[in-house]
Amino acid sequence: MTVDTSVEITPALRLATPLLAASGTFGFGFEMAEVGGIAGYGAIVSKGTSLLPREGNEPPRIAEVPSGMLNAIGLQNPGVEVVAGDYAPRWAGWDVPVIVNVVGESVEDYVAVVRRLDGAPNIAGIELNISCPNVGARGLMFGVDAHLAHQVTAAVRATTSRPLIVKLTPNVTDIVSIARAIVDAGADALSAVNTYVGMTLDLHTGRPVLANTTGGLSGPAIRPLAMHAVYTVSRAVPVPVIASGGVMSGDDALEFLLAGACAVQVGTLNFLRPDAGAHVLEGLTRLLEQRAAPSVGAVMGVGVAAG
Amino acid sequence: MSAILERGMVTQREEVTPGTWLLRLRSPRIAAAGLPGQFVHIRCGEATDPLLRRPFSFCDIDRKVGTYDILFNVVGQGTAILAAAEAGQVFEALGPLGHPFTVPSRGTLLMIGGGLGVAPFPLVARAARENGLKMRWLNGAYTAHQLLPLELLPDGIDAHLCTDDGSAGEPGFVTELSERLMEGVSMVHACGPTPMLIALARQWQRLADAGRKLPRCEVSLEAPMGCALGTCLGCVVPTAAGGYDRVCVEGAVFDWRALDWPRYAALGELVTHRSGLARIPAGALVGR
Repeated sequence: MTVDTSVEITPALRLATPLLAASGTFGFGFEMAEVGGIAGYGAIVSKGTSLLPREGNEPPRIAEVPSGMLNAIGLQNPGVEVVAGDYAPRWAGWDVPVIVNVVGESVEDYVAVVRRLDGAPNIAGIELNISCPNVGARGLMFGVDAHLAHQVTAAVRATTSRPLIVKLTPNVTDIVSIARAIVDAGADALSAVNTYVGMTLDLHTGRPVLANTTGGLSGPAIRPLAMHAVYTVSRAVPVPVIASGGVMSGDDALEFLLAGACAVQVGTLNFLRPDAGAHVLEGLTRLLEQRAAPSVGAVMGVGVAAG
Repeated sequence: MSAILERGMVTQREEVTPGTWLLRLRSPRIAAAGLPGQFVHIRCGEATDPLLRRPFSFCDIDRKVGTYDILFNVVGQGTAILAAAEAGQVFEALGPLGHPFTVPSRGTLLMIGGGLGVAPFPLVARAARENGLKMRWLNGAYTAHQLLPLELLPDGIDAHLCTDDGSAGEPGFVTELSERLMEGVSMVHACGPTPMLIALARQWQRLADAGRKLPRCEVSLEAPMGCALGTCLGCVVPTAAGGYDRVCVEGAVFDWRALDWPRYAALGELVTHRSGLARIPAGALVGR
């Protein structure tokens, strides 16, 4: 039996597999393409792209913690002009659609980036990062405030007709109210979740390991937390929810689908193994075959179906 | 040359000096492609803790047999697993990665290794010997038993040793010997703890400012590393051109002039202490 692994995020964004390479773990795809890392993915989500180039934070930028890692990269990226003018043309002919992750410090920033991307080819969709915990300025505020989240989503929605995904931050009191505000503003889909704010100290120096003091926690350590977020958000909103949080295997991907996700991002695993997409897809396909599920859609949300 | 993902089988494990382990892995494809100064990114088991791979410079390579060696101290979970590995155990590695040392086709090469920064030099020396280079070896360590056993290097090397505690060679730091040893040298390769490299760069800058013509100098850096493929941007160092370069892609070997040393030095103490490596004679690309 062959399982239909395709999923539809929107009618304009149909993916051959339910796996997306998570933003910030895959660059702009070029390095990973060189090592065959794109295999298995239905889409890749680019590194966060800002209006102007960003140098990023001082090192040390990463730290390992039990079953996870903290990162405070600081959104280092070459700016939208390079992404739209140089990178996007190079995505022509790729089998896998590229979704560009967009960051900003003001509504105007987000709109300007998305407008510039609208004039560029080979971009399958936009993922708004309103949740990066590493930028001390206003970037954090959009994702933790329902009104601001609505405002930035609405402004971007009015700018582009491309599929629009908004990535939720979990560092909030009530993730559902923010998810609803974003959907009301016209988002086509949500991704849940970005990293959890964390920190770790060096016992030898007594100081934080990261130069930024805090960082975003990712990896299997956050999976049950993300699972709960996906479960709650997917029951509360009528749009597809793309899960993100510590997927290491096909088992984990299936768990997120059962919890209500329509697709699954794979992030930190790309750092551990350059064949992450193929590895997770192989495991997931085998599990679906064992369950005699004809398609990915057949298992979505069934683990938590109303009853 | 794109990186290869290959499962390497442990064929030998040896404590070459107290606390320092040499692990030999049979991994023919990576061994065939590896160059001096490049590194491998090793997954220390299948568990999620420790989560990330660990980077290690190639210490030596035997292409005929299809093996490479890594040299490390036990400084954390990952290296503890590797130090306990039995022959036949398998570890998956990604490599070869990064920019290699430039091995010129003639002249005299000065190799400076501090602490575990000696790790890449057996392979460098092998390549230099093949090219017919004259070689000088300067090895500094905290104490005598941390010096690289000379049998790991080709015969007949002009070796100079120093220790912080004076227990072998001359007492003091490599910087105190290196200025004299640079006479008549056409190329310098250095690898060691960040403070040692910063001290060397200061010395080279002082010599350059005094109008002395320096040989080409390359340094191999270490940094906490995520993907080792250039995507995570976790392992960056400040560059002279402004901004940051990735140790995993633009390095780990850099021309010393490519780096912003004052800015790196400002971080350097933090980088060294925070990574927990200050307590040990740290070296090249030693994962925890």
